[in-house]
Amino acid sequence: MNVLHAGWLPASGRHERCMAFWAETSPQQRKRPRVAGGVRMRAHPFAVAVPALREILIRIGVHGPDVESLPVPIIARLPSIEGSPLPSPALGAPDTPDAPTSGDAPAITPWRVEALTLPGRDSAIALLDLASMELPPDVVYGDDLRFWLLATRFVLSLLQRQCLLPAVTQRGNGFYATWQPLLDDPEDAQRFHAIAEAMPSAGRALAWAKDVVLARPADLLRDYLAEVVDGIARQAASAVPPQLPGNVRRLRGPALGDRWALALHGDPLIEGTAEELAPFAAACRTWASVPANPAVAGAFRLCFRLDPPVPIEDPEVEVSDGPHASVADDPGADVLAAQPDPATTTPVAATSVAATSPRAGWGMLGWSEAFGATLSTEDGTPPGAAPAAQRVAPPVRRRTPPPPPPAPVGPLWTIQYLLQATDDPSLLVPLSEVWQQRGATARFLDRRFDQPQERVLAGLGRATQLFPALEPSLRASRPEFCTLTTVQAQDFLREKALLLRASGFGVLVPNIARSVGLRLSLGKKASSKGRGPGVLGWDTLISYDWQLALGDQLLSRAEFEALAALKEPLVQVRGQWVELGAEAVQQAMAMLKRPHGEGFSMAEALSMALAPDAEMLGLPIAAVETECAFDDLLERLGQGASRQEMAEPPGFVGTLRPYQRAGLSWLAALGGNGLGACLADDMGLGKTVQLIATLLHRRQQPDTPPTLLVCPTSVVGNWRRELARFAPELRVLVHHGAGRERERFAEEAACHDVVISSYALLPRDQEMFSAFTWDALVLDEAQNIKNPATKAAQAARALPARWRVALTGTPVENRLDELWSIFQFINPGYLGSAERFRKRFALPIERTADAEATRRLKALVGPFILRRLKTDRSIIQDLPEKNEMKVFCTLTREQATLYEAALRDGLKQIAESDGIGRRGQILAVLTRLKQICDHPALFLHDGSALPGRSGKLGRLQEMLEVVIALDDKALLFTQYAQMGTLLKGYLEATFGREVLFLSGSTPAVERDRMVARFQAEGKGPQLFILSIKAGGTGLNLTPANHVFHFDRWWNPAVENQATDRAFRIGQRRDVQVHKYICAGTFEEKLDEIIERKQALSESIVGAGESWITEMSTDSLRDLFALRLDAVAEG
Amino acid sequence: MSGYDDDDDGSWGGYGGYGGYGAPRRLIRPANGIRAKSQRGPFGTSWWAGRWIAALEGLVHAGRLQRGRTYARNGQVVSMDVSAEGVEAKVQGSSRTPYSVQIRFKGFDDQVWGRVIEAMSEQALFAAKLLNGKMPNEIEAVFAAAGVSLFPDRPGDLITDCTCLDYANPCKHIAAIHYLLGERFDDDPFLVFLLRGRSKEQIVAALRALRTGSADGVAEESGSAEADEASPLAADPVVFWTSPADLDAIAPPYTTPAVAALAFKGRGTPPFYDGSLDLSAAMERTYNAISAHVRAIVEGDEG
Repeated sequence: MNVLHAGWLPASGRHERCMAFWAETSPQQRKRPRVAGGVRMRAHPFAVAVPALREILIRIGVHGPDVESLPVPIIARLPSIEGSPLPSPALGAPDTPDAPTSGDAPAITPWRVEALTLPGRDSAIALLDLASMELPPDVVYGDDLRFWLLATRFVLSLLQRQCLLPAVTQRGNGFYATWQPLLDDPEDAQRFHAIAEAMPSAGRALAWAKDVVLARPADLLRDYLAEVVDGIARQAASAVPPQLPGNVRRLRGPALGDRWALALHGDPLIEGTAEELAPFAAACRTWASVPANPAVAGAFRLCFRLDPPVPIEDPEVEVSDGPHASVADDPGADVLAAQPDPATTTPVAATSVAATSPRAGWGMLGWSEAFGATLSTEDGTPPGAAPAAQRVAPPVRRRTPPPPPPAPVGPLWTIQYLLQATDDPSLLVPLSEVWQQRGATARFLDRRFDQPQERVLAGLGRATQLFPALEPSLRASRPEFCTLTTVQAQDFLREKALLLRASGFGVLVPNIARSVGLRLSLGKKASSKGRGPGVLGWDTLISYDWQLALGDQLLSRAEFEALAALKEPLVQVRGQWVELGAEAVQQAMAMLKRPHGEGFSMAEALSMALAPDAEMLGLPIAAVETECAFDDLLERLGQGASRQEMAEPPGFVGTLRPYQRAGLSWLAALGGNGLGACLADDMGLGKTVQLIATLLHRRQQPDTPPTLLVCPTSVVGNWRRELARFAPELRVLVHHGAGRERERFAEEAACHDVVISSYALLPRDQEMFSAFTWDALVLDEAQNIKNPATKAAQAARALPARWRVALTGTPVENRLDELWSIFQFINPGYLGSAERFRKRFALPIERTADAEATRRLKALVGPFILRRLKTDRSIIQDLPEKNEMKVFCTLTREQATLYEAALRDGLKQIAESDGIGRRGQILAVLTRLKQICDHPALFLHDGSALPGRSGKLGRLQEMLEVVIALDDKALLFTQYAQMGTLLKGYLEATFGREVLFLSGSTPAVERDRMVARFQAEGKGPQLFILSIKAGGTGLNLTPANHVFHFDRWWNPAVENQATDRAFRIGQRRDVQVHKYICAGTFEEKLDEIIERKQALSESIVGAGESWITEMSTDSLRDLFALRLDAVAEG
Repeated sequence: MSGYDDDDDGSWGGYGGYGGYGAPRRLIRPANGIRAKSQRGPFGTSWWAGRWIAALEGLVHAGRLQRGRTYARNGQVVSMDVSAEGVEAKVQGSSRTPYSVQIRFKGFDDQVWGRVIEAMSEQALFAAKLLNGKMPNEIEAVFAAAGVSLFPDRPGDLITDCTCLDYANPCKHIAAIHYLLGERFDDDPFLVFLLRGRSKEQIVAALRALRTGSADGVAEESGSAEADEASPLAADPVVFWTSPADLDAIAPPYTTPAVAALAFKGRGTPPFYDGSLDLSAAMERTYNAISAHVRAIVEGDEG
């Protein structure tokens, strides 16, 4: 196990700032630190040497010349004890028996480590690469590295959202044009602090030298942000350098400002003398640090509200009863309702402050258009300028001419100037109130506001710089509003409102639909080949229709063309204002000219309905309507597994639990439409029985062709057995092993209901399997096709089938490449090409945890994945107290050969002996056969290699992969200490993580330590091997939710006792007990006998395994005989 | 230009031998002089500073102006206080004791100010701009309408005095003060009014009084300083290696803003920008290129 670390190093002396990557390695490979004389600082004793580190980085997929660069010695300050650094938690505690047990507290000590360093921008990209690459099993990331990944995500977020400013930085004697991160947005400022606080000590423990003072987290983070923002922005900017006019270059040479602009897009050094650059830098700093906006501090802020024009021909617009269904919900509604009808009231100065309501539906962007009521225009105030709710008094004294009257053509928009309470944005005070304030401090709506006039005026002045269209209104003595042309109003809506808001002003704009969209209608007609009317399948074409929509309003072609002909950026459609930009008009016109196609494929139609995307049709999709059968289908998809539970189909022997019946209904519903399904329930929840019930359900249809079920070799026998048990009437053909049918396969298969085969045979017998269209094609343990390029995956996709199902216990939704591969199997084309999927979903989600991409992907795949967890409250209630299952494994050819040889010799010896000798012989044979079933190496004691030689071990590895992927914990019991040792070595090598092993010879102190580490919350070892004798002595190992019995103690009482003692069953219900049995061997027969006897009587035959020794030789021959199907295809 | 070592006395021709000094004395460089921000080109970046300086340049001898600029840029001015009374300054020359410079401006009487403030009160624009540190363009017209010139343009508009021996008044020391004063106006346009007899507070209060009635009082805000403490590394290994927060819980958003270069445009065109580009348009292009570049990095196309 290797733990990869990263830490940012600020510049120091001759060293540039950079990210240093280094790694620790696992406890076994640790050496005691060498105390070398003459070396001032000791080398970290278990840091990974740089060649190995480089190899790890390249293996993960980080490339580039910097990885090839020379190792850099740095100093890591680490918690240490007794002359050794303490490893990070992923590596566990030291295993040396003389582990420090003294009471010495750990202290921070410097260690020399060799690191690979990358400059800021490259390190950011390397970290993103690390996040999106599949991790080798023996590598994990330290929290420090994960922290810097988070910081990188923050940098990219700032950059994409354009939160950065050009600046001038002085370093030494030089002045440089730099890009600097900007945390103007309070949310970003908050994020920055949250991230700085999340920095583990390990993330800032690196330095160039022993005596460097380490930066505080916030400073270090700021340093990294600055470096990466500048690096990435400069790289991007270098592609678009500003073009200076030719004469400037030729005649005078660029002005300082232009030298700065050029340096921002290339070489950062600004040419010039210190005399001119120092004041330039100072001025730039002043410009960047926008002084606090005086108009937005305190209890109120200046607020701009855009009001649409009110139709002149209809001056008596009703004030309320607009489309505000929820006016009553609004706290300001009373105030509003209390206002007299403006049409009959002479406007007077409000004697008390009128708190105007922003109305229901007002967000910071979005109130509705019915706000404005007209006011008399006798004083030149444009219509709609003063909404009734405010009843602004006409100015008492007017020394300058009023604003020019509205132009005769084109309606005028207005912006009202208001004070908005900062603690309650719905409270608004018209400026007329402010202009009446005589004192330095005013009170509005019970809130204190100092120097109201000056602050408002200063605010207006500031706003004018951002939106010059306000300026004419300031020619009035006591301005309260300004008027805008539609072009100015559009400019305000699109850009200026954002600028003003970014400066802290309040901005209220009406609910104006953004541009043209499409209202899509899907599924009026559906055409599919060879299926009944109304039955939709993956090959169905879904008809579509669309209309242009402006906001909520649907437009006919003629209406749209009439609107477009107005060439106004803001138009009113049936009372609703809509922004109609020139580009949008162009896009819509192009859409109108597009020929109408036949229909969408099911994949296209579903993705449009589930996660509409502007890219798909060129115009944003405003709404999607679904009709007829397609609508029904979506409705059913939306229900998921909450639909009505189906009863067990005829022919099903046994009872399904409620959640299994829900799963059956879900599978049956998707299957009815030929839509692929991925059943991803947790291991042990009974995916097998749900599928068997579904197959029975499907066979109720006449003339159903057989189903092909593909699974790993190790579970072929398991499937055969489970099918026989739950659906005995199904005719099952096992197409497996050397003796499988080849010539007459199609005929043979046709007269069966289910054909079971393995992944190994899928490509090999692909031609045979393609002979006809299967009813269903089922992939069990579908993570086997996680790599879409493998032959098995390609073959699976190529086979013809009416319906495709994937079963998997892995958290498929978190492994995106696997998810794509499985979907490409169950619903081909649905998630697009692998490349497109990677760009749109996998990389954004893995690299930057993009929430929007995650949401869209979930919407797309959600209806086709059913994943229930053992920990779900509703599922737990359905689970039995003890969830035991038998895991039937096959023998490898080597195991079978050894088995037969051992049996032959054994039976001969048994036949030749009697009495106690005979009993001894029987037990000896039993032991040998058990060991062979476990693993040939256990039997041979030859220290030979383990992989690929035991069916049980292969199956164990498959199941443990899932356990580890789920962060579950498992106990593994074996009778043989030697087997425990072999398993420990093998599993540690395979999974690259520590595996605990407790045997009878483990000292008590050590045993307690192991138990404590396994019990520890969160991290710590996930796998714990126990010899059944040693484990049966009052241990409490409750974090485990899986118990594996690798071999059996042929007395269930003993077995259960041991299990229960070690692991208090009943404390939690999400526990699975897996009992391993080699099918076709004595293990299976014994199991049957025990079941039978147990059924007869609870008190089982004698103690231990002695009852076997009483059996006759013939019975023993029967018991031990090897059945032909026991052997797996090699 | 820093190599220009002024000969303090040598330039006045006939007075060359005055006081018996045969050789030119060396200019003394003060340690903490006020250096002009402008080290090349015009002083002051605002239009009103420009107007101020232009107005004074008409009143000063060209040779003195050139020296004055050099003095201002080289930091020969040791101190400068601006008040309603005028300007009091010390300028280091070749004499050991710095020369004292005094400038008094001709103030406007209450009647003039009354007319000006009334005119200003009619348009909120004046106060809005002034409170934002900008001199409204129309301000000269307002003073002209009241029969005066805001910027001094006649010798009688200012009374200057310097303790140096230069026969010319204004001398180069006074010229240096003029340039520095011009730069000060950049930061605070109200200074122009102060030198003409009205403080910022007086003007603001008078404007408010005209809008409403009477006014008084000034409020202040106070900021709090953040206490900084060094934070040591955790010695406990679990605390040391583990993040105190859930690192997956913080997911910053990734959106390309609807309006490009908002951060840049929100601050207005940099007043110090003296180039020939449409900087705002250029920055829009660059900011959008940055957003696109980040997309490319995220989607694995870059790097």
